[in-house]
Amino acid sequence: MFHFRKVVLNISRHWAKSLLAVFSCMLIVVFLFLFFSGLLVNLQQMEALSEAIPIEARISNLNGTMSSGMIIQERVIQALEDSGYVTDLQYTSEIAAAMGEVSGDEAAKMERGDITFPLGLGVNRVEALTGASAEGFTFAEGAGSELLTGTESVCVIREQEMEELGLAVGDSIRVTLFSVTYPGDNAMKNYNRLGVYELRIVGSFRIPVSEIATRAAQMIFPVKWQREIQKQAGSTFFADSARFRVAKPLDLNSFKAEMDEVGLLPVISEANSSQHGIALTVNDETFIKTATRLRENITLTQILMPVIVVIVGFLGFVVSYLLLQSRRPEIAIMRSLGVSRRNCFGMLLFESAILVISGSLAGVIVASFFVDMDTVLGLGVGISFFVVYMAGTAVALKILGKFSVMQLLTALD
Amino acid sequence: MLEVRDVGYIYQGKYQSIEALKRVNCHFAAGKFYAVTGPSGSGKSTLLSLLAGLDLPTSGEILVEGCTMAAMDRDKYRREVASVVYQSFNLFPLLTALENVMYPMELLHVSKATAAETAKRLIGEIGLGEKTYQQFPVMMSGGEQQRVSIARALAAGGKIILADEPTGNLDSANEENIVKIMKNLAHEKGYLVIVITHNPNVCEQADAVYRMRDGELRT
Repeated sequence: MFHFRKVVLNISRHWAKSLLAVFSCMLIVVFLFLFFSGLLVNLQQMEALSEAIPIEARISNLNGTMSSGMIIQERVIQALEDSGYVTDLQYTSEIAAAMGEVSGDEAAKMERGDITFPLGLGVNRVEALTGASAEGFTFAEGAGSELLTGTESVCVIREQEMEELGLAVGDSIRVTLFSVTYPGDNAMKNYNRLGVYELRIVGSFRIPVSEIATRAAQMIFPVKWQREIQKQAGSTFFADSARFRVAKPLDLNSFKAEMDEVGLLPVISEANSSQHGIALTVNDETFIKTATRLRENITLTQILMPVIVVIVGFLGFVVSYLLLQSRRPEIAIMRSLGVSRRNCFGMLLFESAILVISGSLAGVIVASFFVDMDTVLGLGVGISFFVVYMAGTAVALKILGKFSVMQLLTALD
Repeated sequence: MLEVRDVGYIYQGKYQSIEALKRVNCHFAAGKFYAVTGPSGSGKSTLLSLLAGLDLPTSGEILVEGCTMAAMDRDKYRREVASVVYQSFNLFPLLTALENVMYPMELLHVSKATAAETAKRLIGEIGLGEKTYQQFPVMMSGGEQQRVSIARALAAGGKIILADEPTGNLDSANEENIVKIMKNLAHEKGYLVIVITHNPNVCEQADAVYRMRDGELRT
């Protein structure tokens, strides 16, 4: 209690030095908060980067000029569906549909391409339809877009065709379906009759004129159902477009390695045009640029961290040494009165600790005006600063305590 | 009470060593007023510091009531047995006169109230008034500071007073008073008082005088 009282008395009577010590600690703590909050912000931005700048990718032909109307192998689609790096996969598959039962000569004509087909499209979700939005779809009561993700025999027909054919949502129609293939390495299509199917109309859709693509679909089906019927008919399934988002943008290299294993090539703009969807176009430039800048900032901050620790410890040493140097005679008098070396050291260390804690608290308060104060950040910076700074103070006291009381008191005389 | 046996002391400097004391032998008894004199650099202050337990002799030994100082807790010895009065007073500059005198008692866990009461009594006994209680050393004259320093030496209740040139910074009137206080402490209260001095007047009033020259002691 005596020592505690003396420490408090020393702090109050050495008020100018005490204030200086508190002020210097406060400044260091404010600087540390600015430094570490910068690091924290960078880390948070890095974490949120995937959401802020999503990486979109699509399958294209080798020279990157096509994004639909291609031949994408089923195993590629399967690999994308199975991959942990792929999310929001949207793919379509062309299928030709003719109303009613078509067979014989008419079917042969169709297979030769002498008759233009209405275009059908298998989709794995509403968004896969280029130019469509959820608002453009009207579903029957009790039905919804999730029907397109299943395997039921259902279809959604464009409003224009619905009107022309006098159809209504809820009607059932019979259609003859033809799979679409590209026999040559060009846009020439072949149609193979798959069979006649009865489909329930579960909705209609409308695509704004401005969004109508050259191959505007008139009828869409669940692509999984399409895969099933093609399998049953012994017809090879191809997707004609596929796009998705990268699920773990920070593991971009691992994603690309996996896609490489799947057999997808990088786009070669000099390559000849072809219908084969074998290349991967990844829109990652903005993400990489931003992530690289953030990573550089984080790395630099992390490299500086040990330097900051050394500087804080050094400041603790220098400030304490300069402030306590003039108190050597006081220490000598205490020693001559019988205060043990350990108690002298303890009192001065305790005195410094009170000043450092006061400075830290003042620093936290001042810093809270500049940075978003977080409990973990506050405690982390405060405690780390205290430990490192006090280590420097302890070294200063150790050095200051190395003197002969006898010589100092004699010299004073 | 204090016995110095073949004591030698060497100051180990960075570049050279200085032999400050050479085989010093002497004896100090309780209730007596001793003066140690000699030219500057003769080793007087070194001897006093060793008697105060601020360091241990390089050779030989100092016995306190028959116990070697090397085996003692020297911090405790300074707290409870021996007190030093310095030429430059060495009061805590940021403590008042009262607080300076209370300090050794508080170190011995005497309650604050008792310490304050005793300190006031001691300050009165050495001839200072109440107005000095709350004065800081810088506000007092040299003579007043030296009296406070003596009061502080008495506060712990130890029976050995070691004074290093206590009159060195004082005028003749104050010098006489301090010597008188020292003598009274020895003769009336049974203290062992050892005074290091250059002053022949102080030596004249001592019960015994030790003269030092080049680290050696002559009676």
